Amino acid sequence: MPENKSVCNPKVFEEIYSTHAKDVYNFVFYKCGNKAQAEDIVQEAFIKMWNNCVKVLFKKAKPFLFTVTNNLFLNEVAHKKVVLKYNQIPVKNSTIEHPEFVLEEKEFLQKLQSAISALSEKQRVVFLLSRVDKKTYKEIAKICEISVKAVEKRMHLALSILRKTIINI
Amino acid sequence: MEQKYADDTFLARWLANDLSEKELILFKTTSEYKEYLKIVKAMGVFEQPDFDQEKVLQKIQQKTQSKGVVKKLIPNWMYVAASITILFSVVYFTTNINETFTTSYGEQLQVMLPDGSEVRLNAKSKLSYNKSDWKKGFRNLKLEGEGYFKVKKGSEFKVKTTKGNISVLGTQFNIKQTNSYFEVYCYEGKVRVENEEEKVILTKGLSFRKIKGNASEKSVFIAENPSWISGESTFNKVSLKLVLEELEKQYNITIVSNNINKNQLYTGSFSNSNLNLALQTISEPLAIHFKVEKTIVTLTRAND
Repeated sequence: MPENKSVCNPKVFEEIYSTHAKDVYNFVFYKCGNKAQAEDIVQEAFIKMWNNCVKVLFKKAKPFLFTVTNNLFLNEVAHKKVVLKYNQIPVKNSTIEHPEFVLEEKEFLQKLQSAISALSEKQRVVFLLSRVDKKTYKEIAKICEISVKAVEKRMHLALSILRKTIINI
Repeated sequence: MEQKYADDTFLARWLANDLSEKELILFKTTSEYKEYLKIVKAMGVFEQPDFDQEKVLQKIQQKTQSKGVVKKLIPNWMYVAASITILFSVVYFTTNINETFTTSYGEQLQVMLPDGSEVRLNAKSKLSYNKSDWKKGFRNLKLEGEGYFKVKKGSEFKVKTTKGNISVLGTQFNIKQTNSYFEVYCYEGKVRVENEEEKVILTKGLSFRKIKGNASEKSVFIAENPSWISGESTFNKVSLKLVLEELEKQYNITIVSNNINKNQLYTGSFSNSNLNLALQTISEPLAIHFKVEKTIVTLTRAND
């Protein structure tokens, strides 16, 4: 793959889109917790890249997208309180479980969900990118434009806060 | 309990399987271990959000389409040719031709000069300068009409008018010049005014006025800005003739007057945005009747 492709080429643009759109979308969604808004921001970010295609190097497309997305997010929705709703895989139970246990499990998930929503935006994004998107700390560091060490700190903090919040709920 | 974790990345390293065996064994004995494990296991239930990639791509393409088509229609060399033409014309115009700004009836214009100085032009005024002069460091301007200057500090700044020249180093001042009238107000710093007969230096709060046929006067004022900036024309013992001239400039009207002594002096101000109000403020103290028909205003003496 030559490194000096022009982003202005519609084919290259589509290629970038198909590689990164999902990641960008998840990234915003973890921040704002609203699907429609996240979709709009992704759309705007890519349009921005298209309009600036002369200035954006192919190699730099990904960091460009994440930076623009982050800025768009900050401009628009930073101040709103986040309520996250995740898709949940129905837990397949092969064993027959005591109904009380199932209920407890369900309750725990709800608690966990609200605890995640209550995390700070920075911690939540790092935590979910790692746990849901299965990104490595290195990848997260690049996306969020921080050091790996900072990612680890946020991760550590996020998990310990989650535990404490769940106990308190 | 928290102290057991060697540092503030302990849990992160645990998740990444990056703990030493000793650390891990120790961690497993703590009461929190199970709770953490429960959270992490529960996280496995969470899925990535749905994302309709195709739909969003279509939306993006719709919005960017027009640009894409344009690119195909115009070959690249056209851009090059066009930009060369523009470049040449810019070079040509900027080096050889005077930059000119004019305002029409009732207009005002804010002009930024190449050195960052600002000029605000009042109605029916014209300001011009030669760009190559400015590049050489000569800050020369020509003014007809009225302008308010805010000059950046630097080399000598000269304004030429048919009634006299004004030169300064960095200051704020207002110049007004018509056929028979010449006036300079200094709002900050120092201004030197020169005409055929005299040289005057104005400091902050001083004004200079020369009306054709009269001796020049220097007087003191308090205002921080010329009143016309905020939409009013102000006069201090000025003949009615000049006041009406200004009124014509601001409203693009023709004033016809009968039996009126135009040499009587007027002190006051009129609005630059409401003609009726302006006419009232002028005519009432002077006992004048006015009638407006489209762009013609007729003035008559009230007791006739």
